[in-house]
Order: sequence, then structure tokens, then C-alpha cells
Amino acid sequence: MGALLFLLVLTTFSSGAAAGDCPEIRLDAKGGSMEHVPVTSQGHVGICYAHAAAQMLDAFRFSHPAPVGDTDYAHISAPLDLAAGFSKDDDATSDFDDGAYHICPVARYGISHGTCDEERVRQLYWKGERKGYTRSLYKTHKAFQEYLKAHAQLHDWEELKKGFRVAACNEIRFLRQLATSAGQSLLPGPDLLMAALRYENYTDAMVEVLRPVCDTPPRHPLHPSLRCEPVALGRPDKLAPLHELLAVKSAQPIAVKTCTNIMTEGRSYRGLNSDGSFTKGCVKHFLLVIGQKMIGGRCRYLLRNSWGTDEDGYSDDWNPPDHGNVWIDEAAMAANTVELCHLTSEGGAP
Amino acid sequence: MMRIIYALSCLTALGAGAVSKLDETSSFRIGDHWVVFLRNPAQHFTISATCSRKNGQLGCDAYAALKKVSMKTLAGELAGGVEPGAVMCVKALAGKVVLGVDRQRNENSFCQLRDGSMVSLGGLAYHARKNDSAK
Repeated sequence: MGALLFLLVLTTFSSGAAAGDCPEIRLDAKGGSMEHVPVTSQGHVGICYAHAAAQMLDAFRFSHPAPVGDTDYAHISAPLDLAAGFSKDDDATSDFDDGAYHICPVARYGISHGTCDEERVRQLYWKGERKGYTRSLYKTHKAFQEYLKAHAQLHDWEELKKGFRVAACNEIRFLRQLATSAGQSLLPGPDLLMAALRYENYTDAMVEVLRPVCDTPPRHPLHPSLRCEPVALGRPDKLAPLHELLAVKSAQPIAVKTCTNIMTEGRSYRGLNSDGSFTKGCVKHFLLVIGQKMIGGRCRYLLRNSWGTDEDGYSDDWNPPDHGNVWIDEAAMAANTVELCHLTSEGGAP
Repeated sequence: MMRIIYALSCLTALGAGAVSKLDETSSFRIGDHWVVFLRNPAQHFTISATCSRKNGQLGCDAYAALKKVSMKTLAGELAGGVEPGAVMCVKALAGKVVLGVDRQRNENSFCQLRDGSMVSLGGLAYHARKNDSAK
């Protein structure tokens, strides 16, 4: 019995965190900033940065009194609108790094332009899906992302332009098939879309299609005092700042830039080289830290992902499943994380 | 007759345990209508209720897809944090990713196959890992 007790104590201390350092906190529990922020799903779109930014903005809105925040829980910010709008911003080219955007420029775009209602974008998606239209839009957005990625990393401009034109022509051919009177009555602007594509800028097409549902009624405004700021990593305990940030009043979700692989491959995955850069196999991904607790003697963070409420896609290391959120070891997160950021308001703590 | 053969082939594919008990149901709004799904937590998938046959077995394209999915040739397609199951759906199964919303406004995406049946993207990802590790 004594030996068992000794083993239990040893296990607890050797895991690197004591319960006192990692009290249970859930921002999605009643009264937390994420209480009214639903789980979102990006499907095959590849805009994790926009999902993280949209949820951060909504969490801030819902956890602050007017005029900084609001209680319009019916308005959930649409990630696709943020992604498309931000892609037109000047920051979009300069902030593409390590194969992914940074969160803060996207969040700042939302703060300055307001956000579109996710339900309205969903309705547009569903309408378009019936005509095979939305898939084309997503393909369009995806192609533009690829273009940006190449633009940021390669320098063979003529080759890029040529490839981009071919892709644009294929899209236009497809959209021409849809430009029947029935198709035009369903959605605004196959003509606008085609015109936008001819200008070699796919994002213009996305913005044009989203405009009718996002501009009328106007985008939901965000208070100009909102700020998105990087959080310095701790030393030597890289993620130590998270414990403090989660414990403050009206605590906000904290965005982390990490590797998707950690969620699917489990705690043994290592996505960082010794110099702190991502390994070649790491698939960059943004998640939100929205809680913490001790599980099996280890401190784990609760991460809000953008893969819907599905619980089956994750490694068994991260059981128990949590309805679209994932409990991941602090040590495993530290071994795969390079960047943190969160929202605050000017002149005040979160 | 074909239907029976198909159901039997699906049963063989995932093993008898896979269809022993689907003990949870959930509904998602997809477009204008609500779709009912069955979830088998033990076998890690959620699938359209229409896959359930009168004999209690599952038989549909979505169920059959779980046996054959693989991530082996798709690892380079995951940029932007895209859901792995979505890549398999579009690239390997020629399916369509559809977006659903539950009554609490939480979203979840599914892979819709040629016969209209749907399976959760997480379920596809889980079974792809399982299939790949068995090879």
C-alpha cells in the first residue's frame, strides 16, 4: 500500500505539473467568454486562421459590456468572410509565413471592417451547393491561397501568372455553364465573378459573392479599442503565460500556432527542429486555448479546433473527447508551438 | 439480391462489431432540412440514418467508404489546417463535403457519397489511420 502511494506521488510530480499549477478552467462553461461561441467546421476550405480569429472576436464581444462588447449572441462572425476580405488586404502578402497567415492581421481586419453573420454565409453556401456553385467558390479561394503561397516563396513571376491564368480560365468555363437564368436568380453575380476572375484575382470573386449577404444588413461592428497582441512565450516554460491568461477575469481564448499532426498523431509527435523552426512534415494550424485541467497526472489544455463537433478524428492520446474541443498535454503543446496571441482592449486588461 | 450482397460485403468489411449497436442519434440542419445521423462511438463513426437497413445492418456508400479510406497519398494536401477527412472525401472518394449545423448552432461537416449517404469526416480520418496501420 505504501509502495503504491509512493508510486502515485512520484507519478504526479514527474509529470511536470502539479494540480495547483493547473486548476480546472473552461472558458466555454457558464459565464466564460466562450460560453456563447459555437463550434465551427472549416471542412475542406483550409482557413483555420480565420476560424480562430472569428471565434476570438466573438468571445471578446460576448464577455464585455457595451460599448466594448455586446450580447447579440445570434450574430456569429463568419470565418469565410474574414478570410476572403483579409486576402485583399495589403497585410495578406506580407503576413504569409511558414505556410500560414498570422492571426492578428486577420483579427484586425475584422475589427476595422466588422464581421458578417455566419448563418447568412451558410445559407449562401447551401444555396450555391445545390447548383454546384459553392464548390467552385471554394476552389477559387483555395487557388488564390496557393497563388499567395507561391507568391511569397517563389520568384518565377511569369510562370506563376501563366499557371494562374490557366486555372482562372478553367473556372470561368465552369461558371459559364452555371450562368443560366436560374443560376443567376439563385446567387448574385456569375458575371461579376467572371469579371473578377479575368483580373487574375480570385479573392475579388469571393468578396463579390459575399457582398450581398454581408453588406446588407451591414457587417456587425466591433469596438475600435480592440487590440490583437502577440503573447511572449515563457522561458524556460514556454506555455507558462497561458496559465496566467486563463485565470484572469473575463479571460479570452489564446490562439496558438502549432502542427495539425499533434492532434492526429498524439503526444509523441514533434514538429519543431532544435532551432525552433517547424519541421518539414509539420502541417501548420491555428487553434484556440480555452481551458486547462489535470488529466491522469498531466496538465492538459483544452483546445477549440475548427473541425466541427466530430470527436473521431483525433489521436486516442487525447481522450476523453470533448465535442469539438481537444484536451492536449501541456508538454506536447510546448513541443509543437511557436506563436501565441490574444485580444485585449486599449486601456484595459482583457 | 444485390442489396443483400452489398450489406453482407459491408458487414464483412468492418466486422460484425461495427454494426452491433448504434446507440446515439443526432440531427444536423443541412440546407433547408434536418438530417438524422447514427453514431457508433465504439467504432468511431457517425453515419446517415438512411444507411440502416431493415435487418439492423448498415449498407450504403458511406459505410463502405470506411473500409477503403487511406491517408497515404494525401498527406501533402492538408495546408491551412483543413480537416483530413475532407481531403479524403474529395480527393479519394469523389465525394462532396457538406456542412451541417445542430440545434445549438455548432457546425459539423460530413462526406456525402454518390448514393447520398453521409459519414463524419472524423470517422473517415479515424478509419484511414486504422486502415493504413493495418497494411
